[in-house]
Amino acid sequence: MNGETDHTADLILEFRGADLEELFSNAARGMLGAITPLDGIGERAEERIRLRAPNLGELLVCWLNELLFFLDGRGLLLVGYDFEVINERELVARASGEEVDLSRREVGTEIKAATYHDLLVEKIEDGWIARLLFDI
Amino acid sequence: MEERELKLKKIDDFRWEIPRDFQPGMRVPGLIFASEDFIGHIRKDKTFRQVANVACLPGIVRCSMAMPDIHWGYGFPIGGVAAFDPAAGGVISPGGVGYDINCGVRLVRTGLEEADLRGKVAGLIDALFRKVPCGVGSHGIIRLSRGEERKVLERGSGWAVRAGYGRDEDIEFTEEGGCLDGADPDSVSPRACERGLKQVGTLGSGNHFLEIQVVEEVLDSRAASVFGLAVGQVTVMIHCGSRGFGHQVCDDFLRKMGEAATKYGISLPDRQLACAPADSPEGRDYFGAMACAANYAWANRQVIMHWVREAFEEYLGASPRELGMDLVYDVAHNMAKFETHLVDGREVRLCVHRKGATRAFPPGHPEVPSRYGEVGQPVIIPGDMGRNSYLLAGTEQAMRETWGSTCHGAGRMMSRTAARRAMKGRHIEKELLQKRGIVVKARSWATLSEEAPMAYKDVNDVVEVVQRAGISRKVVKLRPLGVIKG
Repeated sequence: MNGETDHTADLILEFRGADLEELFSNAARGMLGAITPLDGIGERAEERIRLRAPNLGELLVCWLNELLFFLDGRGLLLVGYDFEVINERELVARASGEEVDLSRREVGTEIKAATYHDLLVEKIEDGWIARLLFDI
Repeated sequence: MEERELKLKKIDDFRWEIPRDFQPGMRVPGLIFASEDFIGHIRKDKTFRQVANVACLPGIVRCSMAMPDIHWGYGFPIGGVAAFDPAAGGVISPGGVGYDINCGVRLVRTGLEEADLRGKVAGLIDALFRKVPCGVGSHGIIRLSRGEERKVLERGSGWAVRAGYGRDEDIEFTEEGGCLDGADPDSVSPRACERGLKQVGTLGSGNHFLEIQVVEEVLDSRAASVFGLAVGQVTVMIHCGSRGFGHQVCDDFLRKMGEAATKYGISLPDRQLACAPADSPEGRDYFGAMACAANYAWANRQVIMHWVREAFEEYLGASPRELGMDLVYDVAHNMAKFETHLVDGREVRLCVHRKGATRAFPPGHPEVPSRYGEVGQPVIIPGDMGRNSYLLAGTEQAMRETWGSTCHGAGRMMSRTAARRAMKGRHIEKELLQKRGIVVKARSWATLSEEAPMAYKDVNDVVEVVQRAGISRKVVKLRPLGVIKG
């Protein structure tokens, strides 16, 4: 479940998930979906992603910026995620998707990066919640 | 609530102080340049807190400043200016520069009058739209080799001119000559380099734009004449930055600086303000990489300007020289730089951060092109796409008070979400054409609605504040004729 909160210059998105895998998947798809619709994206390409960070919040920021790198740097829209390891400080995942040409697709907001500002990742009664500010 | 806690001290009609006791850890006070009306808007969000957070960073000198286009950002507020003394442990922070390193603006004059373009603006905008790649994830027609990219990073605008995208004199009229000293490509990650290979000569998206404008009013005739501008004259404004290359440099170094801040015992009020002493290995590495991104952005704007000249030539059938298409100036507005300023009567080398703020050096300053020496550095202030933009000049007052800095634009007032909501069902391009005669072309409807004029403060009010506060001087007021948005 994703939601959007007002910020004067940028974009704040809120994500939820029953567990960390779902939270990280929802965050990734929520962010990428704000850039371009994700419907119909196949699984022709796969990338193995391995990340470490000092805490869960920073791990989430790294994960999202990793996906932005693949999209902006290599034109790869990675929308399916298979997490092999995910804990407070480490993530290993296979991310699948396909090469896209954004100049030929419907596009919404250009997201430059997920930031650390006012970052929130919290365990709640029925899972996890995260709130991030994106530079756009 | 914030207001009562704040105890904002009004210094005069355009200066407001945030006292040091506003927040624990503030080493200096905050100083906001704003009218009473703007202060009312600023009070509504967390912008004050961001000014105060910057005041907590080690080695900050005098105060944490914000220009009248200040708004809520991340890390530094947008419109934030702060200088740090490296000799006193002063820091450099990627969060004080932002992701779009050397996002900036250049203004090109032409010898054309508004009447010369009557009935031709839409065609010219189409020609520009075909020539200059724009939009989310746009790639240019230039494909750099790794070796060639290294030259872009080391030489900035100079690379572009040598590669045939412009003229030698363009360099003279670019801040820092379009090349920041100290660029170190070895400090840049392979990922940033990869993102940079295909994006030189692209406008991007968001608030970046390309505009055909006309000089609506001359407010200082002597300075306008020195800048080569007169009423009715057509100009072109280009607003963009370092694209994915800069975003990656910022992201890479925010990670590293998180560790560095811990290593140097720096307590951060906001993780986004991660920093290291400017004279530390980490600080020097960041500066070397940031300078590469700055140079990338200058090369980018230089290439785009070349294509603008070509589009005018192809559409109007006259060469850029015949059309008088000369660069007035190019300014950066997201940057950290080492500059010498007077502190308590002593010359001190400071690391000046401007995030959403523009350098505004005074008449006679050695960094100002000799042709403009008597009037000061041109300061280009883009407004929203429906109202005005300005050309200002730097002042001695700015040099004394704001480290030679001023505002950078209109400043957002409405969130992008709220703007999209408000514009739902409306056709901004038709409204601007019908009501104001402005031709608008955009890659994305979402961008267009987010950038609607009502989302911004009126730039006329913003520049009024900087003029009346004395930190810059109005020279000409520009009005858009045609706009391209990414």
